[in-house]
Amino acid sequence: MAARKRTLLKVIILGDSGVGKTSLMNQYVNKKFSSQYKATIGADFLTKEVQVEDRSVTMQIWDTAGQERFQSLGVAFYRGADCCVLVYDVNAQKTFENLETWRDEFLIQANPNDPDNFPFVVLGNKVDFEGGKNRQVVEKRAKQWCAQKGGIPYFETSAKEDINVDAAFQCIAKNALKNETEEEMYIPDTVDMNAQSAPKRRTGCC
Amino acid sequence: MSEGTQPARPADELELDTRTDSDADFASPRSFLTLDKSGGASERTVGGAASPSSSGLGSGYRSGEDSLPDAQPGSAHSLESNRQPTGDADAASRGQTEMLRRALSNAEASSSPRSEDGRDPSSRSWRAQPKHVFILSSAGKPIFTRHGDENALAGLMAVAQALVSFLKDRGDQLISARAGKHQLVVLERGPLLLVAASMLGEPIQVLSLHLELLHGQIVSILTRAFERRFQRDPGFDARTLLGGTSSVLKALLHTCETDPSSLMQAFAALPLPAAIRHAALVPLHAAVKAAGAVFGVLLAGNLVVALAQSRANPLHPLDLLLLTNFVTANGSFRQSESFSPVCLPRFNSSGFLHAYINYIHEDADLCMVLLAAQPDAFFRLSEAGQQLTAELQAAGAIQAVCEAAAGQEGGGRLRLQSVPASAGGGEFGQASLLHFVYKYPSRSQFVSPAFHAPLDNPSDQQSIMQAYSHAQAILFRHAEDGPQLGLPPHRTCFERGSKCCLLAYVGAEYEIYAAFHCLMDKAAAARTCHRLCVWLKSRQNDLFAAI
Ligand SMILES: Nc1nc2c(ncn2[C@@H]2O[C@H](COP(=O)(O)OP(=O)(O)O)[C@@H](O)[C@H]2O)c(=O)[nH]1
Ligand SMILES: [Mg+2]
Repeated sequence: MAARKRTLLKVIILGDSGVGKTSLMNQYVNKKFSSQYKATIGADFLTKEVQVEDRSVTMQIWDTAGQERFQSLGVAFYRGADCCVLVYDVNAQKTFENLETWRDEFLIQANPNDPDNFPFVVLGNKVDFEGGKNRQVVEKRAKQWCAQKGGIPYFETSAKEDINVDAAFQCIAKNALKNETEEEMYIPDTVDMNAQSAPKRRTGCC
Repeated sequence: MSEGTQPARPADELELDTRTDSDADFASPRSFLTLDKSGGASERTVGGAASPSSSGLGSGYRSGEDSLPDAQPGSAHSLESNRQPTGDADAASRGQTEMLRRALSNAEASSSPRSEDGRDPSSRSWRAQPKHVFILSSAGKPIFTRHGDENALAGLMAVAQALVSFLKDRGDQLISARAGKHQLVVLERGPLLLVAASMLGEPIQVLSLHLELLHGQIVSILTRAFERRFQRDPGFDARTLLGGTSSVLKALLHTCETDPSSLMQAFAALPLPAAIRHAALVPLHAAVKAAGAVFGVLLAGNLVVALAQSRANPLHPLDLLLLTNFVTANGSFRQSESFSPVCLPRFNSSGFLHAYINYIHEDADLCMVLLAAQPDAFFRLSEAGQQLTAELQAAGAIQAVCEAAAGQEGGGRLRLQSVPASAGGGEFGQASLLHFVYKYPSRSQFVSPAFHAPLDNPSDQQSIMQAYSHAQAILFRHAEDGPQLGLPPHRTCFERGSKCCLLAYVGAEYEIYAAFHCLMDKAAAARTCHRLCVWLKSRQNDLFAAI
């Protein structure tokens, strides 16, 4: 077999506005956290090279906006994704309930070949917030939902305190790699000269 | 700019197009989009929703001021507008526009992997490259970059994808845009997006022809069957199929810039005494016939010694260009006789032909390429090839090609020294011509001398090529909509540039593009050019291959 190709993974981050999607991405890629809130408008892109087992992988992370009015980013954004990260805020019940919608939205738009086995990862973020005093979603509840959906890996994270961020993204990379389709043989046709000689046969492309 | 840290960028780079003095370099991915600031004027879009307000990305927020609320030091310049969306109907569209601006600012920060090996897209050397070419999939995954490492440019590629899909959603198709010194051209072909960003000054048509050819080269390697893979799996990584062929694509781009064949859509023959060429063509034809091949070509480097084709299936010059590049850019074909599938996109883009490739003489780069439609044709072709080699040897053709090509400056191309002084030739310092291209359309060929002093470096050669392409664009401006019937309305064009002055003329039988020293006057150029054409015509049989 040819030398192992260098893999690029397209990872999409979805979730309600304000749950910390951009912060998680920034913490992971840039090791930075800003407490200043600034809505992502549309989408951001960051890339990071990671090592998964013995493979070097580039993650191309597509961070999307949660705002209703910008929701329809179009199929193009979801097209060809290798993994979808669903984020909610453990201190906001509603953001957890919306995971279902985000998951559906993704499956509809991306239309993956095998929706049941498409790799998702769920992150419950802001576990640091007020020492967990105002927590509205307990870990058990979240894990239950993940189990129902076919065993989605679940992480409790804090972008602020850098808790579990690396571990979560490592898992994201690993699961995205699983999504890789097996390499099939590539055997295009040979020109059929009998058909070719017919005068009107012209399939030129450029 | 130091590696490893995010460099602080001078503030004046923030507004690229709005200031004439700023060095707008698109290589800062943000300025990929800054092109929109210039609005409709320098941006051309085609397609449905071409109302003035949607003619480009720019109109939506041209008046929006850039604010930098959370710009990290020197990296992600936010380009978010201060204006708040006013109405829902507007909001989605503005949101997308904003998204793109924002995305660009972030891609700039993100696409640099902070590596030390020159792959960093923010590195000065990467930015200084006069021409960038990228290929990405419609999922935004990188496939190829001419400079640097395509993985390191994943952020930039995502932005390009976002840009194109954004415009598509609006019924526009981005064709070209201006970003400071850069001309940007995007070509969408099936699941591939091809992007060129050039500071070389080529006309837009020339850049899109280069992208077309690049796409054609990919098709030559894969046929268009790879598109089915993308239909099944849009996230498919095309590099798994293209593995190791980026040198072929890079070589093609180099050829496009320094060789007139793409611009002229014609090929160049090795100058040879007509009798010798005939002596090579006869056994070549015989070999093609004996082996049941479709085409046969003898190459000396990238010059054609002889070409055997059938009347029913003439080889398109651009197919020949792609085939020649495919053969010459693959070092492994020199090692031993080879058999490789190759697709000729103009001939048939959906299927492979099978090429028998054998170097007959190393020093002269003399190589035979026989193309058959049967995957099991190797032994037949090999046998015919051996016979061909023997007959070429016996006829003295190999010897003659070696004399013409081996060790010769320009690989055997015509030399200005051998052009009479009255026709603009002569030794360096005496010749009034710097270079020329003489095209003979009825044979799909051109003749052009080797570049030599004072055109020693690639950038001077590129300037001459630019001068040709501009002259051609002027002469054939009206031919854009379809094939030219008859002669263009303007048959002559004289342009005085800083590097040369150029006289171009379209005659009934030929086209001539002649580059003279800067101070040449027009009348003298015309007289010299006329004598040059007369001289070339007198040598026509040696300079052009029979087809
Ligand atoms: N305490 C705490 N605040 C966070 C955390 N992650 C994000 N935030 C804050 O939550 C707000 C929204 O974060 P942002 O990343 O913009 O959310 P997004 O809309 O999902 O991208 C910002 O003010 C962040 O500073 C976290 O883990 N802990
Ligand atoms: Mg955000």
